[in-house]
Parts: sequence; C-alpha cells; structure tokens
Amino acid sequence: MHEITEIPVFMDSAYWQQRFFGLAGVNEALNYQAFRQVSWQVDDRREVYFYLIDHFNEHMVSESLGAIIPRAPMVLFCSEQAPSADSALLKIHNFYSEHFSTPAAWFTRMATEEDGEAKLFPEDNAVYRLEEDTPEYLHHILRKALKDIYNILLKD
Amino acid sequence: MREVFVISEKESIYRMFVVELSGLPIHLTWVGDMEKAQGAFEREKPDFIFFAVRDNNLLHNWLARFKRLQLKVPFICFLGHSDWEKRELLWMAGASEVIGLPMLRKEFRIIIENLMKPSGKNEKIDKDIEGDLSQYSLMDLIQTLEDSRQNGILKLYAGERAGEIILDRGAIVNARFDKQEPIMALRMMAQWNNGRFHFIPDKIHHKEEIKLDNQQILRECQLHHRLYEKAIDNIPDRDIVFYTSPLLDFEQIGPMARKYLLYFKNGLTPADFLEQHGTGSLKIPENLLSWINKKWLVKRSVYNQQLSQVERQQKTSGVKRIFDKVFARGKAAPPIDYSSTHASSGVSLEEILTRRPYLFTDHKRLKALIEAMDEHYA
Repeated sequence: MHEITEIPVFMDSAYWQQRFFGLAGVNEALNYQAFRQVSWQVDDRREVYFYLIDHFNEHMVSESLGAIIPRAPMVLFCSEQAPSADSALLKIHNFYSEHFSTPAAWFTRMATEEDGEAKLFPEDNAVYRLEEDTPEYLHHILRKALKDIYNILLKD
Repeated sequence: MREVFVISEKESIYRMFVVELSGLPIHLTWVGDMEKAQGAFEREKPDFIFFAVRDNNLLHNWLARFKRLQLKVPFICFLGHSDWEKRELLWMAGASEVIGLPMLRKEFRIIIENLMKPSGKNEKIDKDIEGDLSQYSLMDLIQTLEDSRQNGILKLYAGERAGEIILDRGAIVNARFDKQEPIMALRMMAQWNNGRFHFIPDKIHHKEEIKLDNQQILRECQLHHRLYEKAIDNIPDRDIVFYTSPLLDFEQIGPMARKYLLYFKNGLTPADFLEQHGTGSLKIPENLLSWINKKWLVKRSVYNQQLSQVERQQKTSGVKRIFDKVFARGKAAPPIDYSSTHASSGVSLEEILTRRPYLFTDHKRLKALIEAMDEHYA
C-alpha cells in the first residue's frame, strides 16, 4: 500500500519554494491553477505532497484546496519574518482560520526574538525557525511540527 | 472555403498551385520557408498545409520542425521525382499524400480535390448536435469539438441546473454557470454525469475570458474530479435513506443548509441527493458528510426514535416544552472552540457552522511517516 500525506504550504517568498524543492530533491513543480505540487518520496512506501500556494486568492483557496485541507494533518504558513499586520500572508491566514479547522504551523527564517515582534505570529500557531538553509534543517523542523501534531492527536 | 498554407522557398510553385487549382473551394497562402511559416502559425492555424521542396533532406528537416509545433494539421508533400522508399518515409512521417511533380494536370486536380474533401472529424457542422451527458463525458465532448475546431456555444442541462461553455475555433474561451468564475464553472460542470448537452454552432468571434488552454482546463477538471470523488467516497452509507432529524432546530442553521436539508424531510439517499442537487461544487458532499456526522441527517431507526421522543414532548405542558427546547439547544449545539481561532472575534455563527472540519485522525499513519522521515536522513 502506498501512503500519501498531503500538506498545503502557504508562502510569501520564492525563498521557501526553493527550500521545499531542496527537501524533495526536485527543481520544478507540477502547476495547477491555485497551487504547485511538489512530491517528496520519503521512502518506497511513503510520499508527502506539498501544495505550494504563493498567490493568495481566497476563492481559489477555498475551492481548489477545500477538500485537501480538512484531510491534511496540518497546514504550513511560511514567511521570511514575522508577518506585519497588513501582509498578504497574514490576511490569507485570517481567511483560512475563518474557513478551516485544520491546525496550522508557521515556519519562519528570522528568529522570533530577534525581530522583536513575535506577537505578530497568530497566537494559536506553533512557530518553528529555519536556522540553516539546508534541506536537513527543513526536514528537522518539519519532523518536529508533525511530531507535535501527532502528540496532540494522541491526547485527543 | 478551406485555408491552405503553402510552405516553399519559391513563390513560383505557389503560383503554379493557384493556377492549377483555381475553382476548388480552397484559399492558398504562400507563407515562405519553414522559418517564416513558424511566424505565420502563431497568427493563424490553417486547415491544410502543402510542403513543396525539392531537397529531400530539407523537407525532412522542415517536417521535424513542423511536428514539434504540434499543430495537428494535415499536410501534403510535393517533391520532384522520388522512389518508393523516399515516399514511404514521408507517409510514415504522417503525410496525407506524397505527390511527385510534374504530373498530368487533370490527375493532379482530382487527387487534391479528393484529399481536401472535408471528411470525418474535420468537417464543420452546420446543424446543432444534441445528446445525453450519461453517454458522452464532457471531457470527450470538448476534445471532439476542439479537434474539429468548432465555434459556438455548448449548452448543458442537468436537472434544474443549466450552464454553457463557449468555444472559439475549438478553444474554450468562456464558461457560465450560476455566478461562478469561468474556470470554477467548468470544473463544476465537468462533474455532471447525467443531463443533456446541446451544441449550437455559430460564426461569431467570442471574447476570450479564460487564459488557460484546453489541456490545462482539462487538467483542472480532472483534479476537481479526483477531489470530488474523494469527497463523495467519504460519505458513509450513500445508498441508505436518510431523514432530517426531527430534533433539528431549523432556526439555528443557515439558509443554504436549510434549503438542502429540507430535501431529506421525506427521506432521500445521499447518492440520489447528489445526483439531483449536486452542482459539482465540493462543498455539497462535504456539507453532507458534516450533517451526517452532526446527526442532522439520521437513518430510519434513529428517525423513528426521535420522532416518538418529539411526540412525547409535545404531550407535555407548554412551559416544559419551552424549557426542553432551550436546554436541548445548549446540548445540541456543536462545541465551538473559540480559543483555537485567531480570527474568530468577527466570525458569525453561520461561518463557524460552515467552517470545514479537521478530518485527519490517522495518527498511525502520521507515526509511520515520522519514523520514515527519521530513516530518510539517518
């Protein structure tokens, strides 16, 4: 049996796209209207499909990803730094929380304590920092985020 | 009148064609050599192509470049005297015919006339086409209309729903259904498995509202189809009759949900419901699932129990009834976790009720994935 895990990833820069390409070991993605798909073969039985979303059209998010998001273990929001109150990423996040209940995690490049505005990350989302620009490090924080979700699932 | 591009280095050959083929219902255009022809293809797609070149190697080079353009336009090769092998190679390359020049004028006209006769797929239809959507999938229908480069409006009817797809020389340029965006309208209409279609050809140039080409559109529709099937697969007991729960307080639910839930008042199976009222939107099967999970829709046995419960309640005093209703409302309302939503402050009750649920529960699979990830970089 082949197991596929789908993870939608909202991102505000090409930087993050490159990180996910690096993790999956690919240099291009399959294009759909609302997102791009990168598949990462974890082992011979398991695959993770990342759906990279970098243009934030609310209608398309709710229609094209509307069936995917509820069945995903989590959703990622990736930003270069803590999002400012009027950033497009935060706006789509607010739209997201109004329409979906799947837990979301933030990946960021800047240390939360460095930029001093950590409060701008949505309160209920776990924040993970990419301290090194390597696939290994992204792998590390992705594993951590999934593990946290797993612990929450077990508790419930 | 059929548009023919003559691809040749020499204009004299084109003049010869014009003279020899005068009177046939074709319009010839000399577009020059392959270099210039590529530019011409960007502006216009002809119905037929004549390749006329003496040098065999050059001809094969042009054909290879032509094929890379993937225009799918039939072509005839004209060349000087050539042996069987050379002709065979060209036939294998897809040429409709290989003609060695010079040849008898009369014979030449007859061959061209026969070749250019509109046949099968390339025929432009003047009459309307009608049919049943259960027999032809929309995807196949669009493919056929694209292949024959039809111009006109494809109307679709399924139950109370009606939509249309507008084609301009085979390309989908617009679609209308409800108040949906064109692409979403197409994605939804592609899910209609029964109903009728009616194609009305016209000669109007339709404005392009969709920027994607037909292949991209088909891909979008396929993706939507997969998601739609998945959403339907998640609904349990699709062929069992469900009823609207007698305990359900219709004042507490949104107007759209109320409209759909009323269809179940006298019993209906989810499969029939989707067939009659499914618009192709993913929200409908998803909402159906959540209504079943919330016990807004119940099976016959539960329905009977609840009905007798309601009847018992009605026999009790009016004051008790009001109390019961107030308390039942508190219990029946789904627990709303306000703490988990950052943006919940301005969210109305209706939005929370229609918020899509978190359905991932497979912690075993997640554990296996985490373990596989550990191995991946180990």
